[in-house]
Amino acid sequence: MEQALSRPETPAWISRSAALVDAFWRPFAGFLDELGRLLRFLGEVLRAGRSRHQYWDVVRYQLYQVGWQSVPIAILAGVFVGGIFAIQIYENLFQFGATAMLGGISASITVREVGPLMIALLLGGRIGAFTTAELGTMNVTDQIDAMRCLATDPIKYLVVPRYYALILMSWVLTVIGIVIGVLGASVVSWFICNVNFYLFFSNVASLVDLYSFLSGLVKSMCFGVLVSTVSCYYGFHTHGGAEDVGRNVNKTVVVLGIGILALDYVLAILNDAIYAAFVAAR
Amino acid sequence: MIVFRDLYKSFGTKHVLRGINLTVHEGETLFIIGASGTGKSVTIKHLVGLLKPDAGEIWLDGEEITHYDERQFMNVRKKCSMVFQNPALFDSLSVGENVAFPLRRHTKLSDAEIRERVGENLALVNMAGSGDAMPHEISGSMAKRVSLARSIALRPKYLLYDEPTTGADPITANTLNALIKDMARKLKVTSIVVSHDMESVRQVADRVAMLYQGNFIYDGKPSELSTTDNGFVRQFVSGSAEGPMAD
Repeated sequence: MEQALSRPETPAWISRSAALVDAFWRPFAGFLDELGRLLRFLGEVLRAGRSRHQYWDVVRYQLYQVGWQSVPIAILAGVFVGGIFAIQIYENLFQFGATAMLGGISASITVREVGPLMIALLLGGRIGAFTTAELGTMNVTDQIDAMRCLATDPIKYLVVPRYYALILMSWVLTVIGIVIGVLGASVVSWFICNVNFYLFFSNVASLVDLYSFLSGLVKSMCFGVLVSTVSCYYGFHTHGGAEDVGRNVNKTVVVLGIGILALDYVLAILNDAIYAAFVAAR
Repeated sequence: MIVFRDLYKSFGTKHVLRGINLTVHEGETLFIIGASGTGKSVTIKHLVGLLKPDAGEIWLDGEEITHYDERQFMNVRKKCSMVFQNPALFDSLSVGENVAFPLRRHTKLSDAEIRERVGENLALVNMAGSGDAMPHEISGSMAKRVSLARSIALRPKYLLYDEPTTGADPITANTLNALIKDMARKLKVTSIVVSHDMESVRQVADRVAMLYQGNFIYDGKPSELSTTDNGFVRQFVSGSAEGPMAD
C-alpha cells in the first residue's frame, strides 16, 4: 500500500536539466538582487541629497580628498595615454599619408572616450577602494551606528558629500586629463613622429566640436555617480571584521572595473543615437 | 520614563526577546544583566532605533516610538544617547572634534562656545587638556571616556551604556563605574547599563533586571540579588559553573 502511494522518481534527465538551469539562473538572480540593492541605495542618497540642509564643510573636505589629491595622477596618466595614442595612431596614418590628421583624431578620441574613461578608472581604483575601506572600517567599528546615535544621518554626512565631490571632480579631472592628454600627444608627435605643433593642431577644431566635449562631460558625470554609488554601497554594507573590509574593497574594484566599461558601452550607443537624431540631422 | 511592553525580536530562527516587559523610571540607574547573547544590547538598541522589534511596544516619555521612522528617531537620539562597547570614536577627527561633533550638528553655538563646552565635557570625564590628541594616540580607557564625553555633549535625558567595563582592567573599570555614578548625579540623567560585571552592579546600580532565555527573570534591588529564591539569578551572581543555567 505504502509503495503504491509513494511519488514516482524524477527522471535523471529532468534533474540534470533543472540543475543546469539553476546553475545559470542563480548567479543571474544574484546579480539582479545586487543591482536592485544598489539602486535602492542610490534612491536613499538622492532623497538625502534633496534636503536643503547639507554638510558643506564635509563637501569641501571631500573635494580636497577626491579632487586635489588626484590631480598629479590625472596629469601623469594624461601625459602617458596621450603619448601612447599619438605613437599608435601615427603608424596607421603614416601608411595612408594622412599624418596631418594625427592631432584631430587623437584629440577627438581623447575628448569623447579616453579622457572620461581614463579618469573614471583612476578614480575607481584610487577613490573607490579608499571609500569602501574607510566606510567599511567605520561600520565594523560601530562608528556609523555611533553617528546615527548622535542624531546625524550617516547617508547625509558620509555619502552625499562624496557624491557631490566625485561628480564635480570627475568633471574637473576629466578636463585636466583631456588637456594634458592632447598636449602630451602633441609633444610626442613633434619629438618622435616629426609632426609639428602647427600641423598637429590644424585639424583639431574640425574633428572636435562642442557636442563631443559636452558628451565627454556627461559621461564623466555618469562615471562619478557610478564610482560613488558602488564604493559607498559596499562600504555601508560591510559587516563582520577586517576580512569583510578586504572582501568588499575587492568587490568595489572588480564591480567598478566592469561597471565603468559596461556603462561606457551603453553611453556610447546612446550618444551615437542622440548625435544621429539631433546633431548630424541638422 | 521608558517602557518596553511585550517586545519580541528574532534573528532568523534565533528568538532573542520573547515578550519582555520593563519600565525604567526617571533618575534611576538600571542595570540589565545576563549571560552573553541573551539580548541585553538588543534591548537597548531598540530604544534608539538601531533595531526594529518584531512585535510589542516601546514608549518614551509617554509617546509610543515603536514605529518611528529614521527621521523621527533623530529627535529621540538627541534625548537618548548611547555609549558603545567599542568606543566608536571617529578616527579622522581629533578628540576635541569628536566631542564637538554633536554640538556642531545640532546647536547654533559659536566656535568659542563649542570649545568651552568641549573643555567642560572632557573635564567631566577626567580628560581635560586632551582635545588635540587623535583617537589612535590615546588608550582604550581614555577612548571610552571620550566616547562618554561625546555622548553627554547634547545633555541627553537618558544615557544607555553598552557593556562599559567589558575588557577593562580593574582600575579602569572602577574609574568608569565612578563616571557612570557621576553622570547620574551631576547631569541628573536616567541610565540604563548593559553589563555582566557584578562588581559594577554592586557599585553603581539602583535597580537590576536579569534577562534569561528572552525574558526578564529578576527585577529588583542589587542588594537582594544574592538572597533571591531564583536559582538562575543566584548562579549568575555567584558565577558558578554548576546550577540550573548549565543544563
